[in-house]
Amino acid sequence: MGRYIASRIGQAFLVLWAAYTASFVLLAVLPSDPISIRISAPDSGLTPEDGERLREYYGLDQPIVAQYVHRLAGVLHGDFGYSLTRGTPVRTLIAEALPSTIHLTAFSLLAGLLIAGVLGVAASYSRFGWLRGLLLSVPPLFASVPTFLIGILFLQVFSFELGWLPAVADGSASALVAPVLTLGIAVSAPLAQVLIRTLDSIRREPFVQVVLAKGADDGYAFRHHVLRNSILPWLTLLGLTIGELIAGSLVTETVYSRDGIGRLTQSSVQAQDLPVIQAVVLLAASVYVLVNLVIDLVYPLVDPRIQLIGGRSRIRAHKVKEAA
Amino acid sequence: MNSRRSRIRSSALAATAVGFLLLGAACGSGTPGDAGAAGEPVYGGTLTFLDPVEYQAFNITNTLWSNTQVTPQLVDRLTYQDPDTGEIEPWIAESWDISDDGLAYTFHLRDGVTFSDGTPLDANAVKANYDQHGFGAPELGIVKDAFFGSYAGTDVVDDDTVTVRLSSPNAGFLQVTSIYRSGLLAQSTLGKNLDAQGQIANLIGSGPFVLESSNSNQEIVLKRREDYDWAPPSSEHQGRAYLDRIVFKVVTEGSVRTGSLQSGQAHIARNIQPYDEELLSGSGIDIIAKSVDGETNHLNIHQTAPLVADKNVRLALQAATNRQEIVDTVLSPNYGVAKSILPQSSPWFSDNSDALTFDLDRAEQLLEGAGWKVGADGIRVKDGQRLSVEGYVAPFYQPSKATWELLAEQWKKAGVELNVKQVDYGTYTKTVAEKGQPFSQSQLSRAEPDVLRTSYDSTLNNVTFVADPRLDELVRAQAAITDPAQRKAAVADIQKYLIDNAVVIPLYDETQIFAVSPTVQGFGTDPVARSEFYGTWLSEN
Repeated sequence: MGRYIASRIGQAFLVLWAAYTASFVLLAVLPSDPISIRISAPDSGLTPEDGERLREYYGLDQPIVAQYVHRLAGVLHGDFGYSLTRGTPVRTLIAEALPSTIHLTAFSLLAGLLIAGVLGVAASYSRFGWLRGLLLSVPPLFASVPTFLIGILFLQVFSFELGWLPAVADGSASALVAPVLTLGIAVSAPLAQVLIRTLDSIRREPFVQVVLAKGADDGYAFRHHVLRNSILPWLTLLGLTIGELIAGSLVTETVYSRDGIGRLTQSSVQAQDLPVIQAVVLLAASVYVLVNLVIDLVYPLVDPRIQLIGGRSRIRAHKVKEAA
Repeated sequence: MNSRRSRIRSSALAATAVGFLLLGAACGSGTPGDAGAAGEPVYGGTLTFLDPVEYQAFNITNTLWSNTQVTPQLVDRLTYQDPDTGEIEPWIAESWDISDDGLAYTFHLRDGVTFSDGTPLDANAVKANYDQHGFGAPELGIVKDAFFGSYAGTDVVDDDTVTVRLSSPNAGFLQVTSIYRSGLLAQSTLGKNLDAQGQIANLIGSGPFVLESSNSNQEIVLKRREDYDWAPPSSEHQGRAYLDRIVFKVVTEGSVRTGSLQSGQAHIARNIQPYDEELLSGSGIDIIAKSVDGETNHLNIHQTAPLVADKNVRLALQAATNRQEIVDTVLSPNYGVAKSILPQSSPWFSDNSDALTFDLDRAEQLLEGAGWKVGADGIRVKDGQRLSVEGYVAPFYQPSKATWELLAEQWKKAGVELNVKQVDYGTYTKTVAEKGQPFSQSQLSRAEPDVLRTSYDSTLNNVTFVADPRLDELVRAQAAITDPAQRKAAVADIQKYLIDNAVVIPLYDETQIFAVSPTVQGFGTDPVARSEFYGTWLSEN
């Protein structure tokens, strides 16, 4: 187990370094640069010579490799530098934006799991064909309606017409309701689709039939046998959902005018604000790596057949006791 | 790719929003405000202002336009410019004398003015501010301010008197002392480096409001400075400001700005789309249109490009442009039809509408005369070359794309093919500066005709990419004239020259549209539509 974690952490650093380097290269090869963007704003009053001076000030006149080494060294010492468009230390920007995004994504994930769980169980256990058909069509609908459209709809109904919720984030808990539902709906779609399929196939498995034949009711079989076996694919999917949450927070934060990492990313990309983009890339990659590590560690707890050996996990060929 | 997707998204958003708003209006859910007398001003209340663009560094110079809705509330200037007449009036400077050669400006400062950190706004403070503008501070990363072009230094005469020296006469300099970027800052701010000066928390001024809090430059809360007592003498209101607080909030989605205002969740929203104006005014929201002084929104023609080097072709494009139709279809009646390179609201405006009349026959005659014959597909041809030009959508102006597309339709009627192209914000300026590009769309805002020298002097911005000796002479001449009547005549000459030679194609008078709740009283702006909240109050709070 210890060796497994150590090797995974080693891999994680490799992934982070690769993400950092790839984003640096991508930004370096873009045809424009942050200073050009800054001086091209009609009201900047800056001449191209002023632009040169600003480039010198920010060290952007250095050879690209020197810039890379300098920045990487800074990051290794925990110094992410200053935003080129706001003048704020990147650490401050992230620290200000992160809590809002954590609230949003954590509650949205909960909402997404809840929506998907209810949909999945209801669809799989529905006794009416028409209801099942109806429920089955909900996840594809959720997946295909763009997040911003849901956001605008919620705003129009609950904020502008009914006046129940503030349209613009004001720090209150009620301002979190609509964004959480919006993002929750977006992430619930794939979770619900997978859950329905897993539930359906596991309920057809012989061991479930045996449990039912022994006189257990549906509820007992669900709680003790079906649920646990259905969670494994969800765990795998959860790792991917994190990516979706990060991407979805961008749109959600924009529509609801919320402060957060998504919006910070969007504005920084637009201005090619290199230090901020790179810090955000590192942050996103760290979260991704960490979540997937945790999920891998949780697998054996959910399914005892899975063992973590060396750098990977594998399923032990082991007699299956569940069916007993 | 990115910009294209966001474009699609915003238009879809807009369409949805319009649909819903129409639905709302049809159901009669709008609550018309009553337009009664507002009564006596009252103190108190928090005003919420929605801005469309995310704020960036708050440096007093070189910032985004959006930031300048916030900054002016924090800083006072030596002089105040009347937004209607353009006159320069006393503010922190009670009076001033200008030397006969126009090279020395002596300002007599008001006594007892302090910055919000308690330090005095005296002659030394003014000198420190102006030196940083005029000379820059390379060790702090601060570059020279282009507006202080001929600055030669400031002498402290005594505590309340400074003399600002210029190296060459600049009739527009007095106006420079009135604009937001000449806002006077405390020494503690000036000593900070470029990054630190960009933090609004470090922006210490003597203005009627001070910072209460800010978060990631997306929400700025200002509060009233209770001991403020040095408003411009011409201001009706004196003493502390009426409002307790102003909350500036970045709301990038247009439909959310309009919806928030309609549902009473905000007081003022900036940058209202033309199609939303009628909806909002129909539901009792005031639409306040402020014409932006400076240049009209126009096309600069780069005579370095092959086809438009011919003056007759340029004049033909001028005649083929239907400005009334631009206002009617792309904008709204709140925008002025361009009648010169300066907007009609400018005190320096001279009417050139005779030369800017839409006249398709004249356009066709000019092109025929220049040897361009209509080809098989309706596009004119000369020596085997088609009369086909490119125009790039300017990302700074929201209606730019629709304007270019309409121009393409209009010019096609004269046999000119205009291909409308689009690049992202970062590459736009570089793209239109490339050799062979015939046009760039631009608009510089400044309530001073010297703005034309900034744009067209071949040693300054030189937006046309050619050195035209006659134009250089014209734009420099006005800067040396101190007599207002003579100067106005000189400015009229520049306007006529730019239009008669089709150096520019004026499109429309640049306008800022504010949607304002009827509870807001006394809302005003400076001559270039930057909000001023000193005299603003709320009738219900």
